[in-house]
Amino acid sequence: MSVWRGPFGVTWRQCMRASALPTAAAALLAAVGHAWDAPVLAGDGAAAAAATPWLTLPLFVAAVGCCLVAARTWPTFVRGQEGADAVRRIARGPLGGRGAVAAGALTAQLTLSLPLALALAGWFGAPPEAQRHVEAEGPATPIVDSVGAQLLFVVRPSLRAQSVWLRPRASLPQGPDPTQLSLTSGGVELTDAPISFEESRELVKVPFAPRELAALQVTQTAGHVPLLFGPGSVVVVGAAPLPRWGNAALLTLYAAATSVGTLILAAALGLGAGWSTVAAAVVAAQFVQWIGGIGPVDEALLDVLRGRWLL
Amino acid sequence: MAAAISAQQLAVTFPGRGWRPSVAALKPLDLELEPGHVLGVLGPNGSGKTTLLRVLAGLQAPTSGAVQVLGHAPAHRELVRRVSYQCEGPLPLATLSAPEYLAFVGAELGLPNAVSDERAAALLARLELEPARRRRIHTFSTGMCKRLALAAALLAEPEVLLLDEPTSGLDPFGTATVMEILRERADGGAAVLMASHHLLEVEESCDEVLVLHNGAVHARGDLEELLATDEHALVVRGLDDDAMRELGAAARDRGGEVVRVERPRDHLFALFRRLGRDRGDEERRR
Repeated sequence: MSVWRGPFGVTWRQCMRASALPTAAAALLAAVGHAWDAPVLAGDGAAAAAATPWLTLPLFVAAVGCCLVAARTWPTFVRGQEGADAVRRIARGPLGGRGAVAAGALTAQLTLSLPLALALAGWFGAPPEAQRHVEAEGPATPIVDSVGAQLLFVVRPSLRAQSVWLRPRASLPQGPDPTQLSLTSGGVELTDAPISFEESRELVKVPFAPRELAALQVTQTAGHVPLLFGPGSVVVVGAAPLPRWGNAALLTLYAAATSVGTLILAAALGLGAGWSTVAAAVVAAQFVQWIGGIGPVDEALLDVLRGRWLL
Repeated sequence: MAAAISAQQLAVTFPGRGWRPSVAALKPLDLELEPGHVLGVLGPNGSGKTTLLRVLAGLQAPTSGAVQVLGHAPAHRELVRRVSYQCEGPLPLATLSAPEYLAFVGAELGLPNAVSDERAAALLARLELEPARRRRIHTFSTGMCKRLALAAALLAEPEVLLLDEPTSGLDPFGTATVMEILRERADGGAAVLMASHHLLEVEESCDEVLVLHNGAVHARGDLEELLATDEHALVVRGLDDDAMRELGAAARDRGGEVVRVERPRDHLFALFRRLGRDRGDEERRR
């Protein structure tokens, strides 16, 4: 007996037959769309890649296609489909083959998505290496508003870091000078270069020699601009890079995760609903995740294009 | 010999919903089928034939009564391979080819790949589906689908065959082949229960019949006994018109009645069968 002959293999082959062409067409459209209207931003090149919306399209089409094919192929997945009796009687396992069908559809989605994610992430300009980004956790009142004020941030989990990105909100200045900060960890100053802020949401990247970082102390050394370090305003960037292909491969797992939830929903609905209802639910469930930003995949796409580790 | 199928007071009622009344699809019936026998289930549409088959296949729970197939409850997992059910209607997975479909069925039944492939090849050849092995099922004619469904039912060499309209949509050659195969399986010890509308087929191939009407048993028993009458008929051929007149007069003198005098001719079915035999002989000669 081989899994390729059973519902897993049958669904995988059917997904490939039915979804490969639409997915390839969507990928072509995405590549053309990006070439036609590639975003150009001043400064950081990685940010330009993050501004392109086109990577979503082919991965979305692959996800929707494979889920629809799974629900349509297996006669007992949706109520009232032809040949259900013939399959219901011989199907194995407590889920009557639905588990194997879902696994086949997810594997097909991975097969279709992986090369596209690898190729298009490079084509759209994602950085060749991804770094781990960890948001540092600050105190309850994360404000520095006078010289000598200090804030302690915890880096959890600790990591070997090579830079810190600071992006605080600025309040009304109380004097003419921009605020200057120093960064220390374990009593050691991370950089000699001045760290200065005079506008709100100004991003300052502070590079330093790679070192293990578990906590971070921010101290105001001069200036008159009060700064608020809210959530996400202190990000520690790791030193160990992950190649772009590894990050893109992780993205396809995130993409498959959207289909896991969708297929569970489809199977539950299919117990009582017909094909058209289930198909509409599948498309809607994928749409809100990919386009509506519900769930992790939307953020994961951005992270790949920004060069951030997905782990 | 233990019965392959045994049912006592088996009944199925589909409950009503809202304003719809409940439906007694099968009224209490008793049933026994021995291995090696072919039972034909006859009856008009809606008489309960398919419901009976679905109960025996473990796809429909009976509302009351007891039923056993090969000594187990019909839904017992062990019966999946030992009992085959060919349901009416379209085949699933219609985008597969016939060999792919049989490979799928074999895998689900837990047959080793080599065994499954060997049997599938033999069945496809026997049921004349070999030339269509590369075509997808959705391009098949109704008759081809029926033959493939039968191949799938025979793949595991089951001890009990439950067949719902196995020959509907088949041409006379296909019908003859299917009935021949079923008879062979029965001679090999399998119990065959076949629902059909085709009276001639049932008469030619079945040992027993069960006639259902509105879910109740209308008639049942051994076919020879059911069809037997107290009267006798004399069938003659080869006499000229004068001799026929004399024979008719003699019958009337003795209180008999001449019901019909006709020129002998074949039935279409026999004609097709003969043509099929001739075609087979020709192919063998080639």
